[in-house]
Amino acid sequence: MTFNPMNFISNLSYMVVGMASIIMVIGLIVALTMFLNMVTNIKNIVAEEEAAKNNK
Amino acid sequence: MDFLVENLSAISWQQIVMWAIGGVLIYLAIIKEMEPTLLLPMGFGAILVNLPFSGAIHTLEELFNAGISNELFPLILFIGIGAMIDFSPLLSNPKLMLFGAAAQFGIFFTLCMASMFFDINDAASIAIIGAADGPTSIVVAQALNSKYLGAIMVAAYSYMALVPIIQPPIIKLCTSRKERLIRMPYVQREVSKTTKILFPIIITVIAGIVAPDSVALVGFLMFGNLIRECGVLNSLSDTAQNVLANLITIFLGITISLRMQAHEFLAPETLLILGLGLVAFIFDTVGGIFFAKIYNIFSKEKVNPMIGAAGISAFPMSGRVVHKMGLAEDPQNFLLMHSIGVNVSGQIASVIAGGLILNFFM
Repeated sequence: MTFNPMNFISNLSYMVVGMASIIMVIGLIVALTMFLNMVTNIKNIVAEEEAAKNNK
Repeated sequence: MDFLVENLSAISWQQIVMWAIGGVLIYLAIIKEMEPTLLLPMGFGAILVNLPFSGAIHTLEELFNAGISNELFPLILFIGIGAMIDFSPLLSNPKLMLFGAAAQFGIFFTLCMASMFFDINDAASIAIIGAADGPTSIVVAQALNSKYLGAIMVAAYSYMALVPIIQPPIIKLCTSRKERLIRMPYVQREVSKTTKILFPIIITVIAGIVAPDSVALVGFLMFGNLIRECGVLNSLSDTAQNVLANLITIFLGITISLRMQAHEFLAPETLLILGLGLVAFIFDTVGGIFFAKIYNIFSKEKVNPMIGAAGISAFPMSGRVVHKMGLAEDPQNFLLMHSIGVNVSGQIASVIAGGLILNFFM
């Protein structure tokens, strides 16, 4: 084990790339989940409206 | 009598120290109920492998090769964990996932810190303690061939158990009372079964495209969740959550203890790894909180910055800590559903962070 403080600076790029990557990946998952929620909720609303019409 | 004298004289002070460490782990597991499922087998194993001429080492080596070297045990455990997780709070408010992502900051900060002392593969393995997720730590440390697997596991599981002690002072230090008093009304939104089924599949596909080498991490977790949510495999879901997870946990802890032999474990590096593990947990918490503060600058709907701290994946302890702190400030401030949602997102984000680390250094 050796102490090399300069490694902190030289490896900062991993921190930047790592955090940017994880935010991007999770951001993509968030967007897809919101889209999925929207699509399935629209289906639910349509189904509910049709059920209401049929009941009338 | 000669063999008895020979065995007794072979006991070294380092082995006695390891017995004491094993005793402490057993004490923490039984008396303090801190992660008993892992700390108890590890504590007992630490004593077992540090007996003079221990015949258990050969057996544990076989188990290690069968289940840890090839990453089989942690990955199978992930199926059980996936089957245990209910993603509903997260799916009803997907934006919470961003806080889980931000709370992985400690991993990457610790990577830089650890690289000052260790080679980059060991530094990455140590940094992943910040994933606050035992199986991810094992997979990453093993895949990167780290020499310090035993110390990394002890640090990961100990700090996960210590979340209720570690997090509150950091949260208080990083937030004002006014911020801690921010109320977050919870709106119950229905999540369709289709969403619950498609979610694990989508995450697996995205993780596979981003980090194909490490897709097993996310894939096994999401496979377990798909078994849970599909609705037609209830008996398999029950088995994964209980029998499978318990069975693997029994072998996992005691097998890891193979890496707790005195000559490997008792080194200055172990203390340093414990310190760096703490740094990872602290900066995970800080990262989550400050992301929430930044979010508040741009958002009309303010969030309580404390929920950012729940983004470390120590589930469900971290979510509960935040909820309790909210109640302590204002008995009418119920943060549980939000903090648990962020906590679950931390579970996903930590596994993705593990995959990214493997992608960088494998």
